[in-house]
Amino acid sequence: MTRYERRQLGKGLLFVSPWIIGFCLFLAYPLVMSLYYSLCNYDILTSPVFIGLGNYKELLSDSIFWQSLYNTFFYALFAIPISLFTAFFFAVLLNCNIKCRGILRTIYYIPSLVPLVASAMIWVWILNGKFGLLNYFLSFLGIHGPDWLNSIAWTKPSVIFTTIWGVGNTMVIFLAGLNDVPKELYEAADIDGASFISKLKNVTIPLISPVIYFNLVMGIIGALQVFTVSYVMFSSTGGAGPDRSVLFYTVYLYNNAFQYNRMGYACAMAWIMFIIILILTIITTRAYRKKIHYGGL
Amino acid sequence: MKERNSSIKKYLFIILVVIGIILSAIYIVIIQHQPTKTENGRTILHFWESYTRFDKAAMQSVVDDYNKSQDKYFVEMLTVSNPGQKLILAVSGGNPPDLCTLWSNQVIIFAAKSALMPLNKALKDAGISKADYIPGLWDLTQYKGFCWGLPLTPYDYGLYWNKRLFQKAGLDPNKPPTTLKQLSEYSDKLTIVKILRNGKEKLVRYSNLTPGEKKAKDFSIVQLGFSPSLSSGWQTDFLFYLEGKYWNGTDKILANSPKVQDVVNWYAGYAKKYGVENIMKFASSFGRFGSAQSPFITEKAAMLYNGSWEFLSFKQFNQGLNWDVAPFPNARGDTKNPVTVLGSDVIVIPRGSPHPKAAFGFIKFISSQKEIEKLDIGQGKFSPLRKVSKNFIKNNPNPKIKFFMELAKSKNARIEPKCPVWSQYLSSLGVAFNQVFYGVYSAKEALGIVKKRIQPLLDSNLKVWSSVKKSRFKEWGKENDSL
Repeated sequence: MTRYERRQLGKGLLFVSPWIIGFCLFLAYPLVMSLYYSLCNYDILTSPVFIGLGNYKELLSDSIFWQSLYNTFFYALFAIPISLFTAFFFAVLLNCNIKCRGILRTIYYIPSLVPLVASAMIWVWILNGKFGLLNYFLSFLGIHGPDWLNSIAWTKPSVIFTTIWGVGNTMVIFLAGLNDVPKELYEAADIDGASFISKLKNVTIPLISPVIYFNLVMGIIGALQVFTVSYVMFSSTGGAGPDRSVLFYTVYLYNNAFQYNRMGYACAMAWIMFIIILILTIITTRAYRKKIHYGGL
Repeated sequence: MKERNSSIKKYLFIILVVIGIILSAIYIVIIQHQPTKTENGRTILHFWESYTRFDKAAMQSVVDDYNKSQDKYFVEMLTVSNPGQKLILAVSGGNPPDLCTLWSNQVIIFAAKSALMPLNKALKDAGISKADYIPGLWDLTQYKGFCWGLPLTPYDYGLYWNKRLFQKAGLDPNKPPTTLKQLSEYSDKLTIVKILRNGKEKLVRYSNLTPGEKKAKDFSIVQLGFSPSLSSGWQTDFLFYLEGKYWNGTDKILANSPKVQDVVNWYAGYAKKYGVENIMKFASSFGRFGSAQSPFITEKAAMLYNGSWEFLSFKQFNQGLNWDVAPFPNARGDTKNPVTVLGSDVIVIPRGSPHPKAAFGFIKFISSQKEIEKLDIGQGKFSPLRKVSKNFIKNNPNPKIKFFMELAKSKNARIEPKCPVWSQYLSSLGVAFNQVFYGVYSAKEALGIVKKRIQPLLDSNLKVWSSVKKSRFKEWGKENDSL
């Protein structure tokens, strides 16, 4: 390396040093320490005591850990496809050349701006078994709605249902992807006599496949870390719901860390979730590698 | 000159970064640093508490009295939501406040983790002792032979009833139920349901339903006499009224003992009687507990198990409510020594407090009869002291304060178990109560799961305690002597 190159490197590092310092202090250090604490018996107030894999072994035999994992996966299994499909559906509709398109796009995006806590409080009343709006509208169809928030069978579907409210962000990302599809391809498809569905299947979806992949991965990460909505909607039971039917993984992690003062145990849970999300992201990437078309081809 | 200008330009960025770092350091160290003295040189004592509105105003008036009574220290009160959680982080970060208030059931957890300072020596020097306090309330703050704080604003629990609904049901409005059997019978008379009879919807008292109608449970509840599930959050209290124990006081979890099964079955019995779905639909139509939409305040529930503070909700949301309160019935029907559950906000000195001796000076001040009565009158609570002044009851806004005071002095007044894993145990018990309520498991099955889960946690906790016991007692002794 020449003297000039070394000087340039120094200047470059100096420019990025605030980010590097922040990364080390607020990300790397806490990450390393949480890995260490996951191997310790640590209650925040006293010094950590190294116990090796004790926390991980205890987690394997903890029935509530498995229940929270099951609840989270159940939620993710339904919430991810529903929110992706809904967002894509609205994005396709809002990409059509219609009057007041701009206003409609705003209207469909606004719900995602409502703070999660506020929207959870609204959903508590919409899903109320006796006076809720949802059961009121279902009664017009002759359907006697269940007690969504107190019935063990319906608590998970009620939380899944609330994900539709926040698809605005995903919809906007899809819209950006749809705008990038070259119009010439649609014109060529029109000339060949392709129908709307045919154009969607053979032109739109392949060309926005990177966007679908991005939203899918972000959806997996977000769904497996669901916390606020269930914690607020079921606050009377500590976020767990009746019979822990909506006790999600992050809520259980939070309870262990801050309610039971078992920070080491909570750190072990956090690392297990990290590994799960990492594995799912790798599987998703590998599975969709050949189906993702970059650069318009 | 041209060369010098180019050098300055070349290193301008580095110079700017260095100046920026220096300025930031000055800002953080000097300007942002918490002031330790007032303008006139008094040492500031930081006091965290969770009060708001009139509770806060009552505490502030006592703090103002302290600040006026001497010129060396100045107590600065800060309202902190969930102070217990924030205190854990503050103590572990080495930056706790001088004083804090905690709920009584948090004190033991903090004490066991050495997050608080023991006050034995300081209390002895100040002439404050157990003899000054209502026994159960003094006991709230004792752990392993040390005293970890002093109760300030105590509360206990009773059975509230609606006299107007009693009268309408043909019951004597001045005679509440005194046994659990009577409670159930009164509830049946006070519960009104909407049921379809001969094609027409009718309002009928539950006690007037036919056995077939009771079995079918095909009705909706319009007015509920009583259900323990309306006081969710305090389900575990009911064991004390049935004379049970949650643990043996040392090393055994008694979750699946016959007495605990009895209380869970009793709790779920109301659901079995009136129908789980009917009760849940009834409860879901109301707002949060203690709000203007709660069932007792809106006169949709005739009886309610609740704490001594509840009169404030009546005052705020329904001044026309014709209510009264009595001891909650117990299994023995003992009305001479009624059962209740005691709790209190407790003032503590966190470990690492910057000015512990001065902090205790404030505790001594606030625990004097005059100041604690001022605080408790302001909050509508009773005094934790055995002795009260002549005007305490007269000046207290709680019309039933004398009743709650006498109830707290009952020899059957109970406190929450001082079990080191009580937080997890309570959470698991809550789930078990609900599982039996919903009919998911029988009481034996649900409580068996609790025992299986909590006993190993307790065993592990006791194992850790036995290894740190010696050093903890040594540390506590040292801190106790330092005050």
